[in-house]
Amino acid sequence: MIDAGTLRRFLKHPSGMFGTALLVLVVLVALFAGIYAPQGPWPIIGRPLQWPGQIPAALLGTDHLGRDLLVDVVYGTRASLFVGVAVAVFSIVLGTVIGAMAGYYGRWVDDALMRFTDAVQTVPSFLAAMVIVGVIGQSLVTVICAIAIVSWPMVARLVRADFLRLKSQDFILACRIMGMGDMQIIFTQILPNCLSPIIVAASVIVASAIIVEAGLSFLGLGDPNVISWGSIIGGGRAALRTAWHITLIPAVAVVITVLSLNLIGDALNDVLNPHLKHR
Amino acid sequence: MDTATEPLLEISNLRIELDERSQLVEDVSFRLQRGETLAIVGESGCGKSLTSLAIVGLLPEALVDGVSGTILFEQTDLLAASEKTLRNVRGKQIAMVFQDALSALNPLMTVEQQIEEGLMAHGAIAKDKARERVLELLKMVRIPDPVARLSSYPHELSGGMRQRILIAMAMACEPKLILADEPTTALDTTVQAQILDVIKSIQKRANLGLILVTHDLGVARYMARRMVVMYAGSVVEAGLVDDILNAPKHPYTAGLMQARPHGSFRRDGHLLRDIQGLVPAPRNRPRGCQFSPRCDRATERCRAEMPPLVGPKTEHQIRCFHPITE
Amino acid sequence: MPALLKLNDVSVSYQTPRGELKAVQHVDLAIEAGETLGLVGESGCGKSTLARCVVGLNHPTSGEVLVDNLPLGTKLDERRKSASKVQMVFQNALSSLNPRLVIEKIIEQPLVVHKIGNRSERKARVLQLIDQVGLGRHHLDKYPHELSGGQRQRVSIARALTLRPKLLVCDEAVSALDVSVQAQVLNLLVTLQRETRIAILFISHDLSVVRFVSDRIAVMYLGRIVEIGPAESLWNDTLHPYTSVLLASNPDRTPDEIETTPRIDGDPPSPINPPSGCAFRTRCPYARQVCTDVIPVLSSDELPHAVACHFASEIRSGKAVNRSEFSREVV
Repeated sequence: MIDAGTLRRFLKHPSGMFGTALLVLVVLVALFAGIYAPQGPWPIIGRPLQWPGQIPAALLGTDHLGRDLLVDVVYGTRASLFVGVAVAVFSIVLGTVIGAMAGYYGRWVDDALMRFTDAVQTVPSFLAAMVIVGVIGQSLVTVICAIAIVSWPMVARLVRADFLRLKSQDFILACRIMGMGDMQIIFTQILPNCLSPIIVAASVIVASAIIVEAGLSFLGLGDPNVISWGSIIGGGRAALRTAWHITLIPAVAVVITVLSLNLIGDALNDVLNPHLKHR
Repeated sequence: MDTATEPLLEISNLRIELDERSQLVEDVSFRLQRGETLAIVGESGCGKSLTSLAIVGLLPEALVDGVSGTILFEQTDLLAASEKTLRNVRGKQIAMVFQDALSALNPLMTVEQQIEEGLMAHGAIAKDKARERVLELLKMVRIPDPVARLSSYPHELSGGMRQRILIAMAMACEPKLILADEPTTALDTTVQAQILDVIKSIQKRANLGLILVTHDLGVARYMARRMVVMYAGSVVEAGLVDDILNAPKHPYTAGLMQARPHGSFRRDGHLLRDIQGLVPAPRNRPRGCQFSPRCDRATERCRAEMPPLVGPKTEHQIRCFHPITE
Repeated sequence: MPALLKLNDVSVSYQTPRGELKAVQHVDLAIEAGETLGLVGESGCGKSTLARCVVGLNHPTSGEVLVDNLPLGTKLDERRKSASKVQMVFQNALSSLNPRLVIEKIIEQPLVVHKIGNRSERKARVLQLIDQVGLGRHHLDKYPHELSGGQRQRVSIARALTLRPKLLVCDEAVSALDVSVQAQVLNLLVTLQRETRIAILFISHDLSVVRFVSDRIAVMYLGRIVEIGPAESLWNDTLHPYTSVLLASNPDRTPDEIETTPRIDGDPPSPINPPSGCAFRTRCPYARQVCTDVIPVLSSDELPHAVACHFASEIRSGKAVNRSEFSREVV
């Protein structure tokens, strides 16, 4: 249940608040990218592979094409966050619908949907994402879909577990006796009681989506028209021994963002399921 | 020391508090002889379960620091004892039987394995003799077809069977005192009667002390010679079961007895005499007598001052300024 | 005037991996308008399964359930129709209320589902119900976990009454409550019934409670009704050996009463593969060969009320043989 008490507990959670502060920082960077560097990350401002300090205009040096590395990383934040959130939204919607149907209807519906979920999960997720992007084409939308396709099974299982538990609770029986239809029960009665695992899963999915996107872009499978942290790292791969700052700096950005999301996710878990902590 | 007259268990001024504003158990004292049954009776939130958990040191962590008073078990103060001493006492000399048999039993172990584990943990027996002893215990609790039951798992047994297993495990190390907390509340009526009979016969045979925590006055009457009535953390009436149930002196005890369904409304049209209001939460306990907000005999004095528990310890004690005397 | 609720030869069976579970077997039952029928039995007797048939949650494997002479169905549109006739109050008040809704929303939910009334009309009805069940207006915007067990049960009752049903099924509605709270809720139920003339099917394992609220009492054992009759007749003139044991096991009886009635041992047989003939014969001190061969039917010939036992008259007149190995071990 998300109420004032839960919010208060979250605000008092030290690592959760630290994670939130980091994430807020990251979001602000993404938001103010346009104000900080209105010219965008594309303009070439100097020689490639320059270290920080070698060119006065480029605070963190230049990438493999001579673009301002700092501006690259700042704009990359937008791409990563966008992909992360979009993937989370898709996986949650898809996973929730499948998990809810499986959990509520049970029997053959459950069997069929769970076998399907199992099948999707057995495919190695990163490889599957690569194949999908490779086959359909490299664009941001494809990347988002590809990652979402492999992320929803986790949500489905969590939602299914809660539905199995809740559907035989007396208040649901009371709703059926009252004459409430199945869809109404699923969406207005059971689902609002399942929000905790979904919220925690969301933070995990955003984090892992960012990493997968970075990986895809690193391998050159991302959207070529989008600057993302992975694409920057990928660009610096050839010069790894001499200009490793091109790899390090975006990697640090990934780590900070993922760390903040994980801290928030853990804190949410502690706050929403307090009885688990004090076992 | 003459053990025949020394009490087996003597609790004095037990107090359990969560913090200064929440006293969960206040000033509880009673004693128990070997071979005697004492019932602790009360409704939810009165502190009866906490009292029994305190005896064996199984209070939840948050409450451990808030415990004061003395609990003397054969002259050893269990509250001041080390964990080592407690472990020697718990399970071996004081055994516990809880309400929910299913969660008290290990789902992955058979009946034989579980009882044996208890036997060998306290070094009571050699492995080859263990099986015999297990069968002996199963017969003691009147389990039909005990040899077949040895290899059963808890989920294969009914509630009544599981409770008998719990009792067998409790008896494994020949304890001197059994603490039974609502042992039959979750069982069907006929099974409850059987289990109570089993407990009664075991107690008689082994001359055990028995503390029975229950909310059911009928069970207290059937099983115990003496009882203690608790309300909102304190003892409000104590004495012989027959005395109390035939002529309750405390308005709460009288209220509990009258609230029990009897007769037929459809025939007589008489409603049950219920006790208005609710038990106060520990944080909201009133000054003065805890029961005063719900008592129709309450006076200003009752609301201002907490009545003391008066009366000789071995006879009828009462915590009330205006006990019922007719 | 046809009975409000009629069960005609209702049976409910399930297939389980271990065999066919016969939860309810050939039950005939009728409840008149304004009547309270108490249903007593222990775990496995089928009373909860029967309750679910009465409210349309379970479809009987055979037989029919009639409310106001119309068959009760389990499909959605049928349940919507029956919602205004039959409602249920559950044992566990906490799990029968949606934890995320405030009390006002919980009580008005049936009105919303059936699109009855506008906002202010619904609010008026909720206020009326709150008064009827003895709660205060300040409870309306609380959540279930903020109320006590007794208060939650009152909310549950209020919600059940929202659509003005004719029959209320109370499934162990007071069993989880403390004695003093139980008394409050029982008083509430009988008072409400007197005011609204609603019929009640009151299910419980506690005979004292059932006797207090009921006009008639039915006793179930392993899926069948073994005794049924007016409450006082059943209480004072018990005919079936199982009912006698139930009464004797009630801790409220005085020790003398308990001493003289036979006890039974062990557990009831499983509803999967019940014993042939009379299901109680495996634990009955009066059982003879005919009890194994022939299932006794409910009949009240020359008896104060109906009972399903081959030897009811003999037992009643003291002529039946009571095998001593079944009598209580004197402790």
